[in-house]
Amino acid sequence: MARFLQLLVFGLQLGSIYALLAIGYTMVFGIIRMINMMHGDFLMIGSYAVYFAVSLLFGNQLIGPAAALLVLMISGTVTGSIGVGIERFAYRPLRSRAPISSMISAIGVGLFVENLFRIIPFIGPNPRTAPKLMADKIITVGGVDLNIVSIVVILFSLVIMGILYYVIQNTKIGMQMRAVACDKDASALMGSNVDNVVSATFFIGAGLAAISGAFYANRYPVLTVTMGATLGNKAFISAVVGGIGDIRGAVLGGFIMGIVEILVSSVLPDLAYGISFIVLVIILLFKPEGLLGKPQIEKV
Amino acid sequence: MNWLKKNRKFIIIPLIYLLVHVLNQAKILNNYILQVLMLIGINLIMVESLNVLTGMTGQTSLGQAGFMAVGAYVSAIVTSILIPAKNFSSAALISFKIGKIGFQITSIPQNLIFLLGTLAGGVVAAIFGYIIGTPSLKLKGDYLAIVTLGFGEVIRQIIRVTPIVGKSFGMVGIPKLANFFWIYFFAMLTIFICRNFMDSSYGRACMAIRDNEIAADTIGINTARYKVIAFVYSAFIAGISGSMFAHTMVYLHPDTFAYTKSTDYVIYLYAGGVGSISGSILGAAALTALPEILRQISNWRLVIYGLLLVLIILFRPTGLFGGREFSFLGLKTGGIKIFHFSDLWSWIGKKKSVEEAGK
Amino acid sequence: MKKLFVLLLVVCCLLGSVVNSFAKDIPDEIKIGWMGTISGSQAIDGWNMSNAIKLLEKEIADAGGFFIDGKEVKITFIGEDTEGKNDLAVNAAQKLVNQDGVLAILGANNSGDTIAAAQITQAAGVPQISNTGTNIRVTQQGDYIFRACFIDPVQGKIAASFIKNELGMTKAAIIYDNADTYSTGLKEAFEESFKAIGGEIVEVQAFSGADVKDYSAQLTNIKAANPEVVYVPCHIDNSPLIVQQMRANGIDVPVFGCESWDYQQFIDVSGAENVEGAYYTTGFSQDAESAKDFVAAFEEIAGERPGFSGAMMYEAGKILLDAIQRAETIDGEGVRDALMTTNLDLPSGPNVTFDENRNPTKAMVVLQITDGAAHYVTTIAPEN
Repeated sequence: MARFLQLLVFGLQLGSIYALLAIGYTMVFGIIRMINMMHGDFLMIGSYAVYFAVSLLFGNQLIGPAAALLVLMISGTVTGSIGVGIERFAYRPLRSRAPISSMISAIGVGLFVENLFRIIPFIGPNPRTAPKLMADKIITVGGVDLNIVSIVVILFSLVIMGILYYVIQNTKIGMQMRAVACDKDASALMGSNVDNVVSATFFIGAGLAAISGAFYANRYPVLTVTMGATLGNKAFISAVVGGIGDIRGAVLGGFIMGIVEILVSSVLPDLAYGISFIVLVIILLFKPEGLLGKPQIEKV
Repeated sequence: MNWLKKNRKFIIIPLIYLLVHVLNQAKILNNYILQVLMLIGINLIMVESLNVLTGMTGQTSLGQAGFMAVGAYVSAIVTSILIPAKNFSSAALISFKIGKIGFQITSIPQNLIFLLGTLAGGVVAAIFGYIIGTPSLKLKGDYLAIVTLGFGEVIRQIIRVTPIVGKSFGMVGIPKLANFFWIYFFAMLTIFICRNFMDSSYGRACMAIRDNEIAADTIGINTARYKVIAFVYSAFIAGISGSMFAHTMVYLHPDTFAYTKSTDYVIYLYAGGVGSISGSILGAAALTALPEILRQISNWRLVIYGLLLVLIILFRPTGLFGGREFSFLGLKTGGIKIFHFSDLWSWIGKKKSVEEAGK
Repeated sequence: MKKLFVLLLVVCCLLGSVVNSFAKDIPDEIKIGWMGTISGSQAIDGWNMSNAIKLLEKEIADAGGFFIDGKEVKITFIGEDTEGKNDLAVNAAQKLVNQDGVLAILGANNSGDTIAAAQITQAAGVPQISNTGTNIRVTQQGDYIFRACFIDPVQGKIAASFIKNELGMTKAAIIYDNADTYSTGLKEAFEESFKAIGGEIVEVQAFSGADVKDYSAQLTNIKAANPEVVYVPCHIDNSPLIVQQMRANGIDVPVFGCESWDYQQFIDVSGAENVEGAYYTTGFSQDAESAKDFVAAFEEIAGERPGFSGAMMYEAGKILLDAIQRAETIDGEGVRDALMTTNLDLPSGPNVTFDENRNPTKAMVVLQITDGAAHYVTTIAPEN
């Protein structure tokens, strides 16, 4: 039992990273119906931003929570701005076309970014050690090891989810986001600036990816330029399983993804990778619109 | 001569083959270029298979490489384990020379085994297509994309732990039975089968589903049935392509069929021009050759490739070929401009502005 | 249409009469191809390899040129990227062999790419020397395929005998990547040898693919099995994380690694305190007297100490250049025959020769990481 609980905790730790990444995925999808295949690369950019921020500002040492928050903000802002720039040049001209065009454009941008980073001399192909933002401390409760940093990350992702949910439900920009997601043309007629709303969405999405990159790097401190590729896919799956377009769904999907992955790896490590996909596919087959997604009625 | 004029494809297609063969024999087209041409052929079949599913029926698939893997491994098992081709004489049946140009017809039994393996690969892939296609009927768009992506990854994971196909060591000892002739033959066959499919009542039903599923349902098209047909058909073609791949590369590794390979084919399809057969030919050819051409600038290769991809999508909305068709293929697809060879010069010369035909 | 038809036929006939000729004897220029993962997730290996090539070029320049029987020959190296994808490795080999007309090929750095490329080089009769393709099947592809490193079974066996005989431990656990040729090969070799000499494998845990970054579930199982040592035959992209998470999950037993750990980055990235006391096997020790000059020269060019793939690339290049000088005819067959009679002193040790399976007879060394650096422990000859 203790072992099961322990695995559950590991699953939640992993899931919190997927969840943060999936939030950005799901917001972008909800608003412009686009599968952003390079979303994982925002995580990579974000963790490199953390790396450079820490080594330039603080040297390479453990920094306190306040400084860590500052670094997170810097990395989030930098990555968010890059996200807005990419949207402006690579996706906005495609908005009136089939969503798959933007997806292919995203794949192209992803290839470009990853390989450009590999060539830039001060980033390069060699793996780098990510700086630890906070020291790990393990406390044991009833035979279950709890990692303080991981608990902070889990709580942090729940808090972010709460804030975002509040923003989307209760503020003007949030209302505009919902309106654009519902009907782009009609909301433009009603006076929303669709371009600004989409830019804001990309800023938040990429910024969250950067923050999840910081947490990711804190837990798995090896930075490479290709680190985001598979993670992006997993976040995509989390978002879809939770019901794409729904923030609560993305968080739920992320946690489920993490827990399934850990539990299956523990029982059948040889086949874990395949089986976790099968589990997710089965969830989708029984609930085709995702766990929290509302069935969409198609009107003719 | 009149008949030939109407059916120029019967001259042009064999002539292209002959030209490549002669150039290769004359050492002008070296084996490297031939290898790239063979890869173009294999990718062309794959893009055509995706075209049936995505371009014609509107079903997103991110797991096409999974079907390819099934075809590749099944055909390789047939030709190297079940009926080992190496047990049969590989001596050429006929071989003669005209000047410096050698011609030969390779060993009949080996070719038969190869065709048998290819068929088996296609059929087993088609069965998988049915297995994936049926439960996915109620899923649409991105949800379907996830299921197909999952399928591809599950196949890869199964191959990784199956001892008979060499687990993650990769499968060696596959006879090199595919050559340019067979790949060219199957690529052309696929193109014509797809053309006929597009023109048949099945193809029209599929296109109706793509354009508006509810409307298609209302006018009495059994949407579920046609979607499954498209899945099975597409998987079969992918399986054939897999067999060509296996017998060209003669070494298979599960990671070759990762999801990035599936997304590559989606890219080829859309960059060339979705829904148009000539577009998929051109997309497969251009984007298979592009990374090879960019080898000159080794380090910057993938950077430029990514950039070009974005530019193609941004500036050629209907794909590189702009939704046109080669006229000699004899394609009659309503609304799409027929592309004549004579147009090629004006197209290159003046860079005519492209009507957004597909829109 | 008729015109086009006639024109094409005429072109075909004309091209048919083109004759190509071969230059014999000692050419003015020799092209040597190399291929590796310049991009992709193992880009660090490709980077190391390109530095090794730079070092070889520099050495030739310093010596005032490359001479065969007194005649100066220009040596050109042509590098190709495989991205770690087998089909691109085949394309790279095709290009090097048919387009560039190289005399021989160095690389590729991983076994899968080498096996795929070997289908081309073997058929074309172009000798290929893989630098770090350790899988046993690599040189089984044909008599033109060589390697500069040891093979997986030897490494697994030596690791097993060192753990059992030198460290006196009998309970080992393994965590490996079942999607990877190299990792699976080492795991099988180690498992077999360790059982054969009376050891016990208490737990075998797998993960699939270099993309997996969380091993908590697997490590929990390993912790429960209570091993005395954990064998980690994994690549540089996974190993540091495995070691870190092992420590974080409270597994304090020694870890035993493989030659892909042979980078200073491995220790830096893992954290020196996490790998303190860890052992690994590799092909050469940077502390060894024979390697000192090479390591210094490499450091001057690359700004870093050589990794294993860089070192083996250098040795592969050395072996090849030596064979070209000794070859009776400067063609694939001549160089192949000369390679078989190699007897060379290299950074990894003296008198390196090839056995009948085209694997080099090199001793292996065991290194231990102490105080943030790898230190030489012992050398074990492959026969034992």
